[in-house]
Amino acid sequence: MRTPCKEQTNVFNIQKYSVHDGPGIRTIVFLQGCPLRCPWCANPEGQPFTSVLSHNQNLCRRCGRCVAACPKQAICLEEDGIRVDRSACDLCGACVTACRMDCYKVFGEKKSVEEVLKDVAKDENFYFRSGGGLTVSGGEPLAHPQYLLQLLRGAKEELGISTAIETTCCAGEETLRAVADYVDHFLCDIKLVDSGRSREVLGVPSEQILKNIRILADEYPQKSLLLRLPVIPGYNDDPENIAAIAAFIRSLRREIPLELLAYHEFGKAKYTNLDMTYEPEIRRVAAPAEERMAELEKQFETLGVKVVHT
Amino acid sequence: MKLSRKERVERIRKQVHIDRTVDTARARLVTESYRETEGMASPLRRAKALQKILGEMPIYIHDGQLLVGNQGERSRAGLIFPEFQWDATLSEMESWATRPGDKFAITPEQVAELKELLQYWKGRTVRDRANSVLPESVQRSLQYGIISNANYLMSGHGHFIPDFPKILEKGFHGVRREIEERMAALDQTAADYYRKQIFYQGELETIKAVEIFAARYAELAEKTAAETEDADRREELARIARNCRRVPMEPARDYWEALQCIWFVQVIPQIEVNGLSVCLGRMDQYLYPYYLRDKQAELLDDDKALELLDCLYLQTATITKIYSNEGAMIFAGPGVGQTITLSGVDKNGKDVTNELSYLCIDADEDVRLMQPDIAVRNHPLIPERFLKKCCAHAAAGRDKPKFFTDRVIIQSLQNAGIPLEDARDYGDLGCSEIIVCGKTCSGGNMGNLCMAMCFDLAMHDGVQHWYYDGKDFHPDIHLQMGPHTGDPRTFRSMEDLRKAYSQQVRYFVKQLAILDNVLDNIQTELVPHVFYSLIVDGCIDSGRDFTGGGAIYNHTSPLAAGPITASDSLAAVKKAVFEDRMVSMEELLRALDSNFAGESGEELRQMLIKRVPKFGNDDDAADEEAVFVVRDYYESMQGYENPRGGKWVPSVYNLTGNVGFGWRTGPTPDGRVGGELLNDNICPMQGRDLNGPTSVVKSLSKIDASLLPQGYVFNLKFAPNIVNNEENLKKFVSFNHSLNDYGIFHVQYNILDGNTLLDAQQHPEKHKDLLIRVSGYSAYFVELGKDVQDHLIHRTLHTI
Repeated sequence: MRTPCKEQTNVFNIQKYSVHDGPGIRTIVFLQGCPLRCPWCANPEGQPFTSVLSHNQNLCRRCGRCVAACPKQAICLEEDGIRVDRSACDLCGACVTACRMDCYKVFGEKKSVEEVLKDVAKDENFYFRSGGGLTVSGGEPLAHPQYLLQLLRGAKEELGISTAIETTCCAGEETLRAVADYVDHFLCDIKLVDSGRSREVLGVPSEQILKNIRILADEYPQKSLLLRLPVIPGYNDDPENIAAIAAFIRSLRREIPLELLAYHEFGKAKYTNLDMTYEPEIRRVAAPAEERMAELEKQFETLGVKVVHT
Repeated sequence: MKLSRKERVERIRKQVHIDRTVDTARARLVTESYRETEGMASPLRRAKALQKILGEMPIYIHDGQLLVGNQGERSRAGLIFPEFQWDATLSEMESWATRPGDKFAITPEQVAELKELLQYWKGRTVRDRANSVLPESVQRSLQYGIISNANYLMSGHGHFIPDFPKILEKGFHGVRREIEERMAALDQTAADYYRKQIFYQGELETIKAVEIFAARYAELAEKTAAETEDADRREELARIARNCRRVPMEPARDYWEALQCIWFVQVIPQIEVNGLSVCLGRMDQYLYPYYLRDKQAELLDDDKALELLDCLYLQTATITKIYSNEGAMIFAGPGVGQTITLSGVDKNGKDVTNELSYLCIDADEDVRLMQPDIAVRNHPLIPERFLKKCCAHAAAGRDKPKFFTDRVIIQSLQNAGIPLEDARDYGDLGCSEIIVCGKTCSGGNMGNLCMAMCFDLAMHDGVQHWYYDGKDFHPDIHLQMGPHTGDPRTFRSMEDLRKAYSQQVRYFVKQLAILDNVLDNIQTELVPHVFYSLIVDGCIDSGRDFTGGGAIYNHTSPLAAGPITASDSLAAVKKAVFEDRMVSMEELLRALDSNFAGESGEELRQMLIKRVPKFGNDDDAADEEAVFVVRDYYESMQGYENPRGGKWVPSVYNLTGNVGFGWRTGPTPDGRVGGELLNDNICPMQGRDLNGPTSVVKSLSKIDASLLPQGYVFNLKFAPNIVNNEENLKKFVSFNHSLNDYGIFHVQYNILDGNTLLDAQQHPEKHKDLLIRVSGYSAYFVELGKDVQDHLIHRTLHTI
């Protein structure tokens, strides 16, 4: 690598052969840390900005080997299973090695841009053949402006591959503009339009998010932009929000397609493993049926929005 | 009644896909014939036996079928070949109906009949002869399962592609004239006159057998026609009769006759000897002139062309083979490897994909049975539309086709000394073996070497500690099995260990060489393959039998079991002992010898699993050991020659042998406990490849496939959502382009999910037609043994 890319940040997964996140065969680099707190988040391990230990109670046989292995005495075996005292844990990983059932995992490892690019470059041929490349996801990639910039610039200038980011668009305008030149495909979430509701549910207002989307749509017409609505029944599939999203999309200067992603429960178990709370309200939500998704698609189309499936 | 194509397929399918049974007619007829021909020269004796079998065995015509020619008394009836062995049949036949996998129903009457027939064969079989001459070192290596050759000890060769174009063009009458000319030209004073004369006499008698067989079908079709009320069917039967009066004796004149001729040539070798992988070669090429001519004359449309292909596919599905219990363990699943090869290039390197290539995929969609297998030659000029069709077929969970990369394969054949023009005319056999069509006696699947055991011996100065007797594990024996290669505690570097490993491999390759070369000689002496010799180029010209070097190209190609278990073990010692010094050699050996017993043993095992690089993750530290293991195997075979005048070439696959060889292999430093599965073929160790399919491909691409003209088997499992729309199909196609770029010799896709398999294991009755790839060929999942099922379920799911 020519560019000095020593900048480091926490990466919690690098997933190869990804085919649902931008064109072609891609590698997704997940950066840790997110300003939003969506209650349905399927990657809660990506929310904090620091590494986090996960313990899978389902696999656990309660053998107690981790208890003995932990140098900080941060693990104890109680009636209902393993407890980790997270304030005492220094993420040394002794439990990860000791465990025979592979219950433990530390999410988030400091990686330099150089290191990540080297790994991404390994699948170069697959990108070239399929028109794929690098997708940076999170967490929120824009929450790491310097790192993201170097990563994307490296991918473009050094590797010459296609780049994409999966973002909530929750970031300062200047951050967005700084990286935009190095991004080919923007995959932006659009969840709630009403700012009060957004603040209440996601923990952040919606103005800046919508503004950023508008910037991309209006000022970067050469960039591919896809909006994605995670459909969370009871949270954002009400007629008001649907109408507001449709109105917003129609108000953009070019036709931006929308993809509907049905809520799924794959993230649920992770909360327990991380000792994080999966709120009782979201716990009650069931994945929307195919008919419901089709109905919503129809509603959007009636409202003049182009719905796509990738 | 006029049947639609689909109706016809369904009607025949019901008659074809039935439970497997045993057919004793062949055993009875061959025994009678041998009793009558005592003292006769082998080629003549074999020809007489074939005349008797083809002349008197039960024959049938399936209702609705447009092609005829059967192996046994009913579909999927397995034949008995007592010329090869009697002992395994005698001791095992009563368990065939109840053994864990590969079941065959057998009646008490059949058992009684076989018991009597087999008496005749004691001391007269291939296996008896081998037992009487093989040195003790070979017998011991076989007994402890470091090498095996369940195939050629109990069967004929198989593993070939007949010269279909020649028989289509000349018919067997043409072949007869050729032989007569050769005989007339023989120098009667020449040293080899006697051998050639006997050979040619046998060949002429063999042609008579073929003639009798075809005439019987003509008569049966005429007789059935006379009894049939349905006018349409009567007409079809009359046409079948006319076809059988014409082919295979005379040249085929149209598409239907051509297919009937192809099927006769394909079915007779299955009856002559029980060799696996009698393959159909490049059918989209040699059948094309007949297709084109009929289409241009407007005698044929694509629906009719497809219907006849469907009929051929359904005929292939009637073929089955009874393996011994040992064989059933290694070749689990009733695959017999009849493969059709599609696309590829001509002798000038130009793409040859044509309308028939597409129809051959459509026929598989119509028929949806395990046989035939389909191989597609992927090359830079393959039409995108065809590759896409093949990818869509594979991604739909059909488990076919398997893909081969022309570029590296043609190079590998050239490396083995084959001229470019012939190398370009290759076809695939049952697994990954590649041979020149119509010209080759491949010696494919000729024995198996367990590399994981060679590694274990290198760690113990050649002493074997672990023994599996078929029922129980014995972890405490002490037998000097291999050569002394030094106490590993004295090894100063990886080089010492690699050298020790390499010496063990060389010792056992030598045992294999002794075994295979002896078996080659015995086959020529006792069971020359007289029909094979009519249909493989070179035999008639040279006056030599197929088994005796008559073919133009001759190889011997043993398999390798557990290459990645061996290489991951090397990588583990490299990292844990020599580089990071996590553990001393002494401690490692203690842990291995106790099968990782106790707390500390288990701790070490966990460390060896988690902290040591593994093949399949695009990590050079592990991958370079795999590169070494394969190259070492290749080098260990240089210098050997087989009695057919051919060279030894390695292949790196073992079907489902990783289960059986796993039982026999003690604990290994990659963290595998004794008796567990070895890695599958050339695939990463189950569950140890954690970075998805691109990384597996990258790891594999480091292995030089151009050293392996008979290839490796690379199974890649994908979840069913891999291709759920047009966009993803394109991505899957591009993935296959990348595999081409990387020179991946062979790949086949299992598209399934673990839950489906678990459910199939628990409720086999619900999943009777669930088609699964087992290492190189397809099998019905419910027909596999439980441990092989477990293995499939366990293999890492590459979900997207």
